[in-house]
Amino acid sequence: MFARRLVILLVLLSSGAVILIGRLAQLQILQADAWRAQAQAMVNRHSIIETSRGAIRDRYGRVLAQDIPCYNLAIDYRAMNMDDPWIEDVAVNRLKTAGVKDRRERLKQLPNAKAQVASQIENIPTLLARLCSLPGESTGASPDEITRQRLEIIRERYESIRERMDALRQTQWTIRRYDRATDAQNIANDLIDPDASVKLREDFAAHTIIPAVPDSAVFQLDKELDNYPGLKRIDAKHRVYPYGRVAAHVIGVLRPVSKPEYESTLPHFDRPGLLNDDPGNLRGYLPSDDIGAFGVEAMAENKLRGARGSRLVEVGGSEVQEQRQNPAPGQDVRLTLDVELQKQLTDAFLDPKRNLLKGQDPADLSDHQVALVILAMDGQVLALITTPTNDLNTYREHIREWLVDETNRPLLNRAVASVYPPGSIVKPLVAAAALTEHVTTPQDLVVCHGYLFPNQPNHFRCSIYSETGNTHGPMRMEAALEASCNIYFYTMGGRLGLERLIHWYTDFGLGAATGIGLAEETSGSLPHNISDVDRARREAIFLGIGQGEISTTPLQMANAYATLLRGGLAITPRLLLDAPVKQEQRFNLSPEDQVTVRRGMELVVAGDMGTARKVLRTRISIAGKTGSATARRYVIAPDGTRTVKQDSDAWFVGYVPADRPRFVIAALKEFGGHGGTSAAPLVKEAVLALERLGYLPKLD
Amino acid sequence: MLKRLQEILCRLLTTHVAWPVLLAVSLLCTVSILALHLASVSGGGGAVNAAGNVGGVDYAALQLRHIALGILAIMLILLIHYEWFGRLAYIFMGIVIALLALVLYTPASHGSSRWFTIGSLQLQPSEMAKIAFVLTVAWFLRYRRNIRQTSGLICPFFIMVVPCALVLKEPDLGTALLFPLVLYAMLIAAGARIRHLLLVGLLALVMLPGAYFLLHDYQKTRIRSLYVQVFQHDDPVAMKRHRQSFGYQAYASMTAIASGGTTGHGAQGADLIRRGLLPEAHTDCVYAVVGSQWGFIGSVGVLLLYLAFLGAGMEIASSTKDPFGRLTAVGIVTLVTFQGMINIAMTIGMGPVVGIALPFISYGGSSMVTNMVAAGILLNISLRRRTKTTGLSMHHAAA
Repeated sequence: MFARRLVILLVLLSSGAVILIGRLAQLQILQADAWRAQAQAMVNRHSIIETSRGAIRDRYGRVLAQDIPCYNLAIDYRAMNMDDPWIEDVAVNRLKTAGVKDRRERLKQLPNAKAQVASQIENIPTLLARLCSLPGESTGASPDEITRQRLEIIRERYESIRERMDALRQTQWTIRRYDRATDAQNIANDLIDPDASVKLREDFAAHTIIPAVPDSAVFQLDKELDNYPGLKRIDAKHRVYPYGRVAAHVIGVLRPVSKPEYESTLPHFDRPGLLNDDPGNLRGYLPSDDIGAFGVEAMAENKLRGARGSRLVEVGGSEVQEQRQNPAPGQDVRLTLDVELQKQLTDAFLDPKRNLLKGQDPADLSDHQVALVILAMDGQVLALITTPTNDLNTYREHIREWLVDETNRPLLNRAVASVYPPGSIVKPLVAAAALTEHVTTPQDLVVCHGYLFPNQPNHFRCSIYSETGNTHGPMRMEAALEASCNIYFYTMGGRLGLERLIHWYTDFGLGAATGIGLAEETSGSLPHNISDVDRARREAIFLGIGQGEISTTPLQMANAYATLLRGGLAITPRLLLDAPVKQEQRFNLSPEDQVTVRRGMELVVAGDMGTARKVLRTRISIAGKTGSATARRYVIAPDGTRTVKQDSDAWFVGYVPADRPRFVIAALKEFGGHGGTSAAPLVKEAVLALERLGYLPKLD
Repeated sequence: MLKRLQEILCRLLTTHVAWPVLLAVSLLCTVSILALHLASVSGGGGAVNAAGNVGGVDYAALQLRHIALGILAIMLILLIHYEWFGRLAYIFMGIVIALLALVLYTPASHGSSRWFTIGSLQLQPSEMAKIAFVLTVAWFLRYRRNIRQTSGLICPFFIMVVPCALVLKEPDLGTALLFPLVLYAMLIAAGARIRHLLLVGLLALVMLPGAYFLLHDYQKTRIRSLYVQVFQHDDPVAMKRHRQSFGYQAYASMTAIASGGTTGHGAQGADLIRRGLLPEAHTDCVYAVVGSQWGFIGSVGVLLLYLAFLGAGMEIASSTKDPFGRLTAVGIVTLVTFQGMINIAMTIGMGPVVGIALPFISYGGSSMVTNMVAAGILLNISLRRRTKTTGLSMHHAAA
């Protein structure tokens, strides 16, 4: 019987062996080629080749922003987390290089070596704090205090790297969960254990702590790098803005890409170098990438940002083949700006000696001002100055203080992202509307009694009446523009009515973003049509002088004037030189009517009653319109107190030369008081600069 | 003493049934040295490569020492009559159980407490437990007739449960799996009723899904990943995920084996191993090295060597009259063969990845010495058996 039992056992085990042999035959004979391809894919190494971001240049090719090679200081994630196996590796390697050949001897010395490595890793922050200054530290503090602050900053950066890694791990986890959900019949529903730490490429990589380390520090560090395991000097690029504060709001800066952004486009999640037979989306963002934060950097992100390259190293036996997909560097972007004009104006605006900062209240030196120069012909923005402005190169250091500076809001691009009541500068637009709609003729007289309704002397007053008690008397359109008579334009507003006014303002491009392309641009606002006749009439009267529920950006107003000068042809203002011209005939202003309106605007500067007659007498004739729009807004004092302040925003929008308009210039000064005294000087400065730079013919 | 050893060795060479055992073991050891030479990845400088293998260690040279140690163990074992192992089996088992309990309190390495570390020496009591278990069961069953009743199966079952549970607790699923399998084989050999055994087998099958819930999470994932591998290999999404997580080891070893083709020397497989992309290339996945280097012929050859070992053991068992001897022989060969087959199944994607070594081939001192001891006991039995024809045993002759 025993022998029979042995036969049973033998048969059982042999049949098991037969099954195994069958499987081996399937794998090694039938499927060998397919598996060889798989093996090849596993051996293949993918690596990413970095690319560079395109430069931003002005209309003459001068560099406004570009990538410059630099060194970053980075720390290995394993060192940062005091990963024991890693420390052990470093220690063993160190002992080997020190010539400790015997394994037992190495083992004996290992604890000491590990302790040494660990303590050196712990010293890294101290070294970094010694090496270079860090953004966020207070200047002028005692050396000890500065060291303490720097250590604190470095600690925060360690933390943020950890947070980013956690986020990344979570992302990977979510994505796996997501594609798991796609196959419902998958029994292996929780194949991946969330508790099991998924190792990412970044777990074995160095993470930047200090970007763009100064050369002196790099030089100093090179001598010591070996003594700080885990600390690495990596080749990097950083963005340099040669013009500093000039055109800062237009150029914009970079910021680290945010979590939702990189979650959506992260190139790939494969294990480092193992199975990534697919390089993934090379245009995608990695968590350490930068993206344009605002300005052209954000607007032209897709063009500026290049695509990374990928390198596939194929290893077959001893031969190595390389498949390369070269990186596509980002393209350069040419702006319509003339940075020299921009620079001269910025410097002039911010020069205390030039007296341009002075507002209505001499004590209140407000530099919240905007100036814009656009080409009347095709809407190219030649200069866009908004102050206060700051050096883009110090953006990362100061971003926090700038963000909380509610007094000045230095990051606000006031030309496109801030809205103001337009006030009297809408009068030429209303005039054009009134003439085209035939509610008046150039010769029609409107009598200014100082106030609009005989029984309401305190409402709908003319500015001349509220300031001096005088009246304008009977006025034609040209004179009404020249003297900026409110009564005349109240009347026009009333005659046009709310609905037609809104329609005309919309045609001039108000109430909607101009489409210049900057993400931060706002649309301003226009009132909605009101069915109540009385209220609609009041609103229309107010709208006739640009008050009421209307707010515009300086760019919108400059654009509206350009549209007016083109007789109704609206062209989207643009910042990129190669952007296509988008134009649309919104209305047709007859040449005779245009002459009337333009004559009125010329008289603003040239006429005896002109509201800007004192300031804008230049050799080249300027025409335009002043505005002093009543505005109420929060004012936050440097000590943090908030008050609602009501005052006038000073506007001037005009064009040069008056006889053959080539440049539309808009200027605005927040709470600047009278347009003629506060905003017109900015325009004059712009005209002089244009003349200096040869845009306008020099007469002598 | 030396003289006696010389005498025993001479006798061994004249014992025909011992030849296949000697041949199989020495060939397997040769394969081990060659495979480990390939698996000693040239990472250099103690660098840990992508799959976590430490490079720059010559495993082949170290394994040679283990083999030498194993041969020494065989010689020592040959000096003593195998019956003494039976007499001392219960004591040996007691010691082993105590060690198995103690090892649970050692600090875990790689997530489980399996090793006693004394200096640079690592001792794995679960390896000893396998031998002790075979001896104990054989000693217990040698004259039992009651195993033909169901109640008679209870005692052997308890002998199995204690070490098995302790090993499972370490946790070491692979080794724990061996105990019931070996017991089953020995019960078949000892003459338990087939229908009882079928019943027990059926019961085990029924209870298996329940046992699944008692497993550790990582063990569950391995079993589920086996499911993906076997039943969802057409689903690219599931497979990609599988490859990138817990299925990686199985996938890598299958790739290495399959790339060996019919006759071996698959360049891609060699690259895989050289670059350290095959995890545990020197231990659990050493069969993948064999497969990639010597192809189908080599893989089947190794499998046949285990079958030769099995056959030789069966031959020894069937020619032995002494019940303890023949049960021990059956226990030992099934132990080794099961281990080999489970490991092979695991590397070709037919079984869950459980940490079980390939006998005589995988790198490792404890495992090598244990298997050598097992072979030694088998040789011992072949030398001293009272054959049915002569009824003589060497023991009596010497006495």
